[in-house]
Amino acid sequence: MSDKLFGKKGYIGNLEIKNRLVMTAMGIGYADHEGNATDEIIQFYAERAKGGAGVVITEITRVNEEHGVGEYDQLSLASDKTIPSFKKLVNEIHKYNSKLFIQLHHPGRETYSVLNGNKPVVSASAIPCGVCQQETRALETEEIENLVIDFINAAFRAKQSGADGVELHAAHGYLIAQFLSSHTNKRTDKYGGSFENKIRFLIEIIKGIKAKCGKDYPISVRISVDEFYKVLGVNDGITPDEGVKIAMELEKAGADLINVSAGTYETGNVTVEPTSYSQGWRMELAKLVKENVTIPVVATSVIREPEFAEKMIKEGYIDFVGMGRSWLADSHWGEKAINGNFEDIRKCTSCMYCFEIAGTQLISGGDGTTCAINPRLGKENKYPEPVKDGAGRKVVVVGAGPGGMESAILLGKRGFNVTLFEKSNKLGGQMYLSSVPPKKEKMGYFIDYCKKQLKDYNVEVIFNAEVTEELIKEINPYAVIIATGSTAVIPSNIEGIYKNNVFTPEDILSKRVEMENLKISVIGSGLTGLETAEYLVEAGNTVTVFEMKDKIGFDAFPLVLMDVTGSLTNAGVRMIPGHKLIEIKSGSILLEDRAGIVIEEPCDAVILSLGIKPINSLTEKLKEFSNVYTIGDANKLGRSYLKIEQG
Amino acid sequence: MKEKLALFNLPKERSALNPYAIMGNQTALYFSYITDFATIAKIVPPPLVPIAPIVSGYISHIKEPSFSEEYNEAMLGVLVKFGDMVGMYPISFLLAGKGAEMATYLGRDKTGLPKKMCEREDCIQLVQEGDVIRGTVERKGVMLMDVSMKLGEYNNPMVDQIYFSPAPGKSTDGYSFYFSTYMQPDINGNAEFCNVNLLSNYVQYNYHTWTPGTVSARLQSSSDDPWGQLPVLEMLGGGFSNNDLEMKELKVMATPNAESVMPYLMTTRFDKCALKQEEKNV
Repeated sequence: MSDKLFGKKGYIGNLEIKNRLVMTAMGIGYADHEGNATDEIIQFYAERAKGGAGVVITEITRVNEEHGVGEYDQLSLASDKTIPSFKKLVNEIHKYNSKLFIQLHHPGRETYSVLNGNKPVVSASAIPCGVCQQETRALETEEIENLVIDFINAAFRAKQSGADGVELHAAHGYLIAQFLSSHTNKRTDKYGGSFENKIRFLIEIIKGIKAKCGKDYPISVRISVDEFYKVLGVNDGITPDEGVKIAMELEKAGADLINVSAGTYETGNVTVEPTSYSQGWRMELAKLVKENVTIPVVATSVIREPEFAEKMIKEGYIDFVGMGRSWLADSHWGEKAINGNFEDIRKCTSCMYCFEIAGTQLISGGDGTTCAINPRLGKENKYPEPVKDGAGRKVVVVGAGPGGMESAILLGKRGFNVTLFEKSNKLGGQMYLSSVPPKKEKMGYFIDYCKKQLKDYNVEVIFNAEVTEELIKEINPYAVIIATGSTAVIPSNIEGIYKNNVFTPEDILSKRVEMENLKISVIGSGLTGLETAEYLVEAGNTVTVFEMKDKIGFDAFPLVLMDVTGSLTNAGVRMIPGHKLIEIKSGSILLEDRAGIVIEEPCDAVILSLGIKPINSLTEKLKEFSNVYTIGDANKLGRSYLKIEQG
Repeated sequence: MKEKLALFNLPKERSALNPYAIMGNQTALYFSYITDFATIAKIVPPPLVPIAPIVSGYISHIKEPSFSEEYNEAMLGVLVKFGDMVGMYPISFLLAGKGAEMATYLGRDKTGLPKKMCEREDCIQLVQEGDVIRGTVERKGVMLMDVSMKLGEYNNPMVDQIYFSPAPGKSTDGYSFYFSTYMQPDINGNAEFCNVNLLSNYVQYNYHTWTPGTVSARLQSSSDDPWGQLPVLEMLGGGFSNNDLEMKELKVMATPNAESVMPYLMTTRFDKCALKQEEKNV
């Protein structure tokens, strides 16, 4: 039984917080290019405040326009011009008795020259970031002193706008962290060398803000307690011992909250974790800090479940529960958790789609990020909660993949009488399959959520059902939603392709076919192929992945790809790009390499993961019916599980 | 002319090795690819620091080495830095052919190169048929490396920068890093590795030819040689070249602790049968 400790009030300095739930900062791209809080971003944050966030921390907000731009569409408090828009934002948040902290930020070397007047990016020392790879110059001592003032002035503007506090982004390898870290700070002036000198920049900012905004004006400081450079074979950067020391020094300087995080751009997966990272995997870092400071501690660590959040507070790891992506997937995470409706939470699967989309818009802007399982994200204004206008009319949904389930739930909410047909005996379609490989169980969260919602909205689910034109005629529904998804591509021109040693990822991941102690060739290195390989190697098989292109995981998101290929490397899976399958024999396959050399690879089984194609034959058969909608992969293949289509 | 026979006792003036080594008139297939950076980080010994997820390798026929008869050699290496100094850290060499024994001894004893020999002369092959080159490395019955190249263009043009844009008549230079060590018995009859030195070697390639090529590679590990441990995640391509490689200044850069470094060096110098019993049974 949960005590729902996360629902109890807490304090940051003297500021009372209605509960222990903090929505931490995420770059979302809903601001305008000038740095104003737009209606879109205000609605986005307000929806989360309404949904139970005790504290909302904004995305990175720049304090300097000359070399401090981190994203094309990013909030700014580098001048007074944007204050009116921030006032609107604060007012909206306060309507729900939530508090707003504005995260003040300078990217340092973790940005791009094109965003900063095509000039070299700046840092503590002239060491380029391994990810951004921009020409980098060391800041002059006087420039650092001016930046201290920039941060103080931005904090004052935050206070003028009515914000309840500020957060200094001193984590993730951004500018302040570049001063803190021995990996990036090689200075010999008063801002480099000793621990005291490396932390001086941050301490001066904190003391300056307190002096200008008042000692009671709350300051949260986000720090990477471990930069994890050891995973790159580098023996410097911030280690947990040093991270704790930094936190203790920040408390002495007047910080009111320590926000524990980890990593830098160069060690990226420990900052924004792919789905393989378990819930709470780095909570020990938070505990280390909490044991050494008296001010409250908040931490993120793939927290998805209220029960886990509760446990972390109860066991003294944290005072406040930090979540980022959880609030993207479900704007009402807090309200549902506090009301005990745990199963109604649309839990983030850590699929990284939001991060991928945000990344593509970093330099040139766009519509802002989206979520693979929450199509309303960032469109809360445009698509408010549905009205109940179904009036009991019958609707048939064909296919219980993510699109079919979401449609059925939405129509159920609207008061339609919905029947959901599924040809297999399981909910989830491709999403279910993606939850089967090792450490991918979070992909199943959405299926669990849908199962509960389908029941709540009285959707009748019929499994093992083949929907025909005749059946639709018989039911005579008001509308039909065709969400029949996709199927594997089987190229018929390859000799031996229909042999009985040839299978698809679906055969394996649905467990229709089980394999153990076999030598297996997986053909195709998209994420499906790679994750099927993960599953097969864990089952005790020897697996080789062949890819026709020169690159493994050609179109996969790099951070997710790195995670999966790292796991496959550790498991001893061979990955061989540049090889095209030309024939399948009974105990081997023939492949042609980029020089035209044909090799024979012995194997017991072949898994074809050569892409998917829509299953939409029903669309043609139902063309005489009215209100027939084909959605999802059946309509157009895509990476997102859910998107708003056809109104 | 009558062959001059060796003597057990050499005159003092001849009792020294050539100071420089030249791998003269070598024909080689060079290639580079992107691998898993975390795996590189695990296999690069401190104080070297890996700097890129890139593996470079070659299969070479060294026709006129300055220190031995001709031989074939294959190598896998990664880019590292020591302080501000950037260079190649060769992870493993395998050698075959008439001169392989001397090249292995000299490489290991003099320079600290992680070298092993293959059991037959034909274990390392480099064959050209028209515009296709194929290099293979086999040891103890396992095909550790099978690389093909179609002459023409790189898989990815960026690879040209990795080789400093080679061209006929052009010389390029750089550094390599090695760890030299030796075993010393103590008064109790135990032998331990001691005096580990991190060496930097200034090297210079003098290119007679360089032809870009599209590369495919199949790497595989055996119980003695983990050549498949660094997977090919993206092939960048390489070149086919005739050149002279001069290995020049060899300097001690650091003296790291043997205990911390030796775990990184054992496999590429010794087969499993030479390692401790526990390891043999794994």
